[in-house]
Amino acid sequence: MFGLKPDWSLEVPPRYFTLENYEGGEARWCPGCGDLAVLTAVQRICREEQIPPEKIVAVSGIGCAGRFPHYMGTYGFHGLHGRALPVACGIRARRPDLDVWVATGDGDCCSIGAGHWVHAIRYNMNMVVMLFDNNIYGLTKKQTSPTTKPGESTNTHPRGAWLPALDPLSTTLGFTNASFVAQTIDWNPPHLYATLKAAHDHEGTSFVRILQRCPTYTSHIFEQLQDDPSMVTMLTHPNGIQVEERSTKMFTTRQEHDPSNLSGARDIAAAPGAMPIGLLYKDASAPQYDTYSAIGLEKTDQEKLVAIDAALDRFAI
Amino acid sequence: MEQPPSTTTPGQGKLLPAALAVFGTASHLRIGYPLLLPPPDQGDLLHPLPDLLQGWLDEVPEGPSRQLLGDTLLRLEAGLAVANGAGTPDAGQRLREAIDAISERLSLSDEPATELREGLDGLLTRVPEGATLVGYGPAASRDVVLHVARRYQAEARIRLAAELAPLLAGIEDLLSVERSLDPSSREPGALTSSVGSAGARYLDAAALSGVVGRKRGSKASSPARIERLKGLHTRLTAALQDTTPQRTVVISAGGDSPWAAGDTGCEVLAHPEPLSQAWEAFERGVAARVELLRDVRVARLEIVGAYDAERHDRLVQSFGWADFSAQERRQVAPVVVVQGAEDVVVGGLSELCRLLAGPYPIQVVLERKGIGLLGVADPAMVGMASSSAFVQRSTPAQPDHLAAGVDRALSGDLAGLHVVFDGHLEGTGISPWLVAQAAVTCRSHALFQFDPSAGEGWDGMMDVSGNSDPEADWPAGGDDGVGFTVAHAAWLDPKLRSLLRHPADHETERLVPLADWLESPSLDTLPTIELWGPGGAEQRIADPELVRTVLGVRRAWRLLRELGGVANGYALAAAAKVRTEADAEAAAERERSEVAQAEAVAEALAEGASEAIGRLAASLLETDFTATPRARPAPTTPVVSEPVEEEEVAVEAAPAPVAEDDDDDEEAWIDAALCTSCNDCIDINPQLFGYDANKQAQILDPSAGTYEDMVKAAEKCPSRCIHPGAPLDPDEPGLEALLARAEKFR
Repeated sequence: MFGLKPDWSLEVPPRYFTLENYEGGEARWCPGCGDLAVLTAVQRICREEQIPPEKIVAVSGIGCAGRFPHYMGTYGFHGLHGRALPVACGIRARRPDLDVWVATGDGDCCSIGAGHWVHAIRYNMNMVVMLFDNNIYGLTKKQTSPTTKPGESTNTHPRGAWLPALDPLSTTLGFTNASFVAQTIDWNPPHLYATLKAAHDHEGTSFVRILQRCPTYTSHIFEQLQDDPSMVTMLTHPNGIQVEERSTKMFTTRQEHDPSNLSGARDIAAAPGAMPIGLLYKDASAPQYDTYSAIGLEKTDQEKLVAIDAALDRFAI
Repeated sequence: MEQPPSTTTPGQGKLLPAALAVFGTASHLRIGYPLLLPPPDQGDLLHPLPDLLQGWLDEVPEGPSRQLLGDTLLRLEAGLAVANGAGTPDAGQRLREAIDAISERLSLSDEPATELREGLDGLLTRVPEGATLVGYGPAASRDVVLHVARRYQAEARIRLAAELAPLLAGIEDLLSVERSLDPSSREPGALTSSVGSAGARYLDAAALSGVVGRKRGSKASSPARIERLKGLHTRLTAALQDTTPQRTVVISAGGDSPWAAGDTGCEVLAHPEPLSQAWEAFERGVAARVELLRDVRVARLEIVGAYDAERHDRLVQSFGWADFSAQERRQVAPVVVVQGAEDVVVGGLSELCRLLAGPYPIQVVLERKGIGLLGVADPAMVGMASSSAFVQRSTPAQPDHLAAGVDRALSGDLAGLHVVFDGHLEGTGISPWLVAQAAVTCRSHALFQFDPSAGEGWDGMMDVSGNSDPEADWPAGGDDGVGFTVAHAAWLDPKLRSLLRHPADHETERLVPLADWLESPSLDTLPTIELWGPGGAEQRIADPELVRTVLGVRRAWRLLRELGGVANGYALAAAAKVRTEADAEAAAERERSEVAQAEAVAEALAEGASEAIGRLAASLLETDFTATPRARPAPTTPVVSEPVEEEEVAVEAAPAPVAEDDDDDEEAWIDAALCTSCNDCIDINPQLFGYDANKQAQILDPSAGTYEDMVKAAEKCPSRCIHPGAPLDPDEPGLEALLARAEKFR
């Protein structure tokens, strides 16, 4: 109608961003570190979506992954140990216009920050939470973390970690109101990129555990998986993570899994020796707390003052 | 870069007819502009630049550079789509300026800036030299019409030059013969000049003059003929050397009309009544060419020796427009008269009819200044009544349609009437292009072309293509099921907007959607249309005068489309009649064949019954009834791993790849998609390895490092994506050990 073609809308972004626009300081992780792959994937997603850098906030706690905001050419918040998630929730609560990426580690999230982890997942505010899981405290030179495998020799357990490792996937799937839980690996960038992209596209808290190599302290723990990709189970489904076959053909063990099936996701996560990658669970209908917390944002300062006065007047004698 | 004028900024927050509301919030519409007008003497009529850009982009390989280029092309398109020819119209230069401005605004760093520049340079090579770029401004009609006129003249000029050159050579031959017959050509001076200064040194010109004899058997022409030939020679030489094109004459009412601007290369005349000046202007154009065309005719006759002064002198004297051939007529500069359609309807119809029925192919452009023509005759329909002129209703919003129409009129040597509407109305709040298309869509300015030279019947002469959904009274898409009518479009025209009024409180019970009202008109109900705005939907009551216009436009459209062969009542009735007859015939035939088949079957059964029973008995006697019946194969249950297995089977079954492995062995390569950007390889040798635009590794220069570097990097690479290939230096120390280490990566 009106002689317009289907592509009638000519929305032209006013600026163009290259990868450099999302690059901050020079990344000083160890050579070969898996964090570099995650950083590049996030920067690429931002470029693909052409998100203005000033509309992005990278938030982190303490640990190697905590360096993440320094290497992003965006706003960033390098928080206290274990406090990446509450800071990120605070940002989303009153700045829902910002794109929030949380970089947290297995120590930062699953140990000291575990309390915030529970509630951040329950709040389900729109953000991507990347759990950089290298099974070790790398920054402080090899102490046992909650996800260290039993028997792994560390500086705090020279004769081997003693307790069974915490499983971040099963844990998150057990939290109320979880809306997006996925797992990926840093050494297959196409799968990593596709998973983070799907997480970014999801409205709500997207929890992505990234199995991340530490070439300095735990270089051996994922070697077997790298050498024999068939040990990794790639989850497939039309509603799951879509990656081109060419880049994932080495993952010959496949399992069809509907990400809307929560109990199926829990079974996959809890299966002994399982190493699934892909989307375990997704619920787009889960309520988001940031839609509630943003109520009244459009009010002017004057209107807010009037409202405060009115509220205080109720106590006037 | 030029910014689009504010009228193209969306009508966000404005009330718009429902069908247009969705476009009101768009920052830019893709309208097929700017147009790239090729130089007049080459190429097609015109190219929408967006199509050219898209075609070019489709050839650029996928990747970050392509995205940057694609975005930049959109910015180019958006910036130039409505730019009104300000500055230089040279397409190459305009694009270069726009590209520079975009690059500056994006403030790209060196690498992407270079990539963009290189990419766009490739684009600029596709823009022909001398092409111009026009945006959808108030001058769009002018630009399209005059571009076609310039092409028409360029063709005529080329044709004339092609004809003049051999004629001139022929005249020169004749003159040289005459010169050789002249006694003065045997004078020593003439001989000296004929052999040249070098030859003169070796010849005695005076002696030669005495020896050279007069040619025998030739008779000198009359002085009058020689004079005529000399005159022809002089004038035709001058005409051939004169590269100044005949200028199209544009006559407009002047004022602020873009047609009155003097930068179009045309002869611009202004007169309060432009139509009255056209005839005279065209005759001036004829007079300017008649001498040359007469000379061409005479030269043709002279060269073949057929010029008979007694017979031809008289004809030559009276030679004029009526004697021109079709090709000669093309040598006269076109005359384009422009006037407001409304002005002509009110007071200039007689002059218009005189021009359209007259002998000259004068092109009349009538510009409409509104969506509807209330209570007055439609000039396009009046034009058709002349039955000898090309008539079209068109719009620069569909430049192909407009340009093709003007081209047909000019090429067909017909007077032309082009009623155009470009949608530039004050205060519409949406893009003028969309306003023009709305007028087309609501059928008030339905497109058509009437070419009386194209056939004997309406089927050849009338063309209504270019209208959407031509079988319907109005294209569907309106808010109230009636389609997009003039009543809806009237909201866009400030002059008509007052005919749509707010319902009063006491009227709300009587409101009826226009569609329903048209089906059962009643004085008790009020026809309404729906508008959408930020506050939701609102109703407006259509004034009776507007409703009459709606009905009038519908009637006119039904007539037009019937003439154009769409939903033609006669054709439909004929088709229905033929179909009924064919159905009846087919039914009778079917009945006949059923009877025949039944008879044949009965006959066959009677003949074959005994044989069949014999066979059945034999077969039953041989059957083993103790055997277990074979089960039908069960449907395959989908297995999760099935696709992978299938693929493996397929891979196994496929012939083993041969050449690929060989290539891998030769040249080192990196599967960049798998690179984790971990810096390991770059730390080994930053000259050998580097990052691409995705920050994934690539081999920068295979000769910049040793094979050892390559193998070390392959071993260290966590994603195993480096493939070392074969060593470049066969003398590298320890090569055998390195090759052994590289084996598993090759």
